[in-house]
This record gives sequence, structure tokens and C-alpha cells, in this order.
Amino acid sequence: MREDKEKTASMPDYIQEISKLGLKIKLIQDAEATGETASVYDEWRAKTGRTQMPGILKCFGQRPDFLRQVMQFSDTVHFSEGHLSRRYKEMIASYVSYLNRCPY
Amino acid sequence: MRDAISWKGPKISVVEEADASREVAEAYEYWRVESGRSEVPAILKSLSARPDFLKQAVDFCNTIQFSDGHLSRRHKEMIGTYASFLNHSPGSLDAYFPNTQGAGDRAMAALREGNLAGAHLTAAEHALMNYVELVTRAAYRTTREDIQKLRDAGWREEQIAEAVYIIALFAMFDRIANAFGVSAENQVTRG
Repeated sequence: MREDKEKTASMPDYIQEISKLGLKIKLIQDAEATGETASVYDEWRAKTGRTQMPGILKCFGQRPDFLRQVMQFSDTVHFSEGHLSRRYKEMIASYVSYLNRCPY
Repeated sequence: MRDAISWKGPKISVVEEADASREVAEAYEYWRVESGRSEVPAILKSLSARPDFLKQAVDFCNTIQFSDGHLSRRHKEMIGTYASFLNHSPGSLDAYFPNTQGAGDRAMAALREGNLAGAHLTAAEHALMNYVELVTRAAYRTTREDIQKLRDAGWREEQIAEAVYIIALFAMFDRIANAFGVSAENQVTRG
């Protein structure tokens, strides 16, 4: 908890402000996922080697069929080289998220 | 100040059917088969630089938008219509509207004009449209109290989640339409 507070304190002001609002809509957490949602979470963890689903993907947990498609098109158009390099795509995404006041 | 609504014609080049490479032509044909329509709308041509993404867009729109889910298809259409009004995107609406089951009905026509009073909404629908406006204008400003209002109006958690997906989907397509300059060919141009 203390570590979290220190981490947040080093973030830009807008992220700190948004973080104070906390979770507004219930997410399906890793441990409570069942059925198709659990399957898609498993697929993502297996693919990435990470143990916890990121919050942004858990936002889609209520529609695991759509979550799978979100993961697929994100790989196609964002997490890849295309007409733009992956680096430029990441620069665009970072700045857009700042403009949208989105800390994720 | 220029008004996006009054702009006509594309600002960014798209691949027309006559110029389509094999991959783009296949993507357009994929949409025709899925939609049953013949003329590829400009909003989809805006994705022609990435035909692989275009096909995925057809698929995920069918999954989340053009179907009943936690929300009815009609409520999704209401959300999409009102969000596109708020995003000043008649081009997106124009492509989308012919596909809607609610096309031609009074509620949908009123929402296209941003006229909530004229849409004769139920209290629950009104609460939902108010939330569409909050998320569309500044999602980061929404609060737990805003969500509680939706719950109090009778919307379940999974329906609220799906509403957010639809609002976000239209945020994306409305921005694509406005960035490319997709015009509204079948509705009265304002501005």
C-alpha cells in the first residue's frame, strides 16, 4: 500500500487526480473469472507470460468474445510494425492518452 | 472557426473500389457478404490502408454493435446515434444509420439531432443518454455517483459495461469519419 502511494505520488498531477476517483464500474478480476472470460484471460496470460490481466483488458471482461477481438485488432494495428513504426504508434498512443486524461 | 459538419469531401485519400488491390477488394467483399449491402460506405473505405484491420472491424462491429447482448440492439443504436451527434459526426451516422433496425423511427431521428426531449425516452433511457454524454465529453470526469444513477434507473453492471464499449466504439468511428472527412450523403447537412 505504501509502495502504491509512493508510486502514485511520483506520477503527473492529472494521473493522481484520476486515481483518486477509484474504480467506478465493476471489473471481473482474474480470480473470479469463469467460463469464456476465464478462457480469454488464460489466453492472454499464456501469450504474454504475465500473471495478472491489466485493468484496461478487464474492462472488457463482461463480453469475452469482444475482448478476444480487441486483443486481436490491437495486435494487428497497434502492437506491430505497419505503415507507421511501432515506436510512432506508441508515441501517438501516449500523447492521446495524456490528452484524454487517461493514465492506463 | 470551421465547422466539421459543413465540410464536404475526403481529407485523407481512401482506396476506391476501382483502384482496390486484391487484399482491399477481398476486405470490401467480406463486408458485402457480412452486411448484405452492395455499396461499401466511406467510413469503411477509411480503413482501406489496413484491409486486415478492416475485416477485423467488420467482425467486432457485428459482435458488439449489430446484435443483442447485455443491451438490446435498439439501445445500442440509441447510444451510437446520440454519441455520433455529440461527436459532430454525421458521416459516421450516415454510414451507420441505414443498418439500424430503428432507422426511420421518431426516437432515433430525434437523437440524431441531439433532441432528448423529442425522443420520448423512458426514465431509464434518459439516464443512459445522460451517461453517453458524460463519457463522450470527458470520460475521466465520470464518478461513482454517475454509475449509481444508472443502477438506480435499473441498468445492470454488465449493461453499463456494454454501454461504455458502444460509446467508445463510436468515439473511434466518429473520429475516423471526421478525420478523413467522410460526408453525410443521406442526411441534411448542418452548420
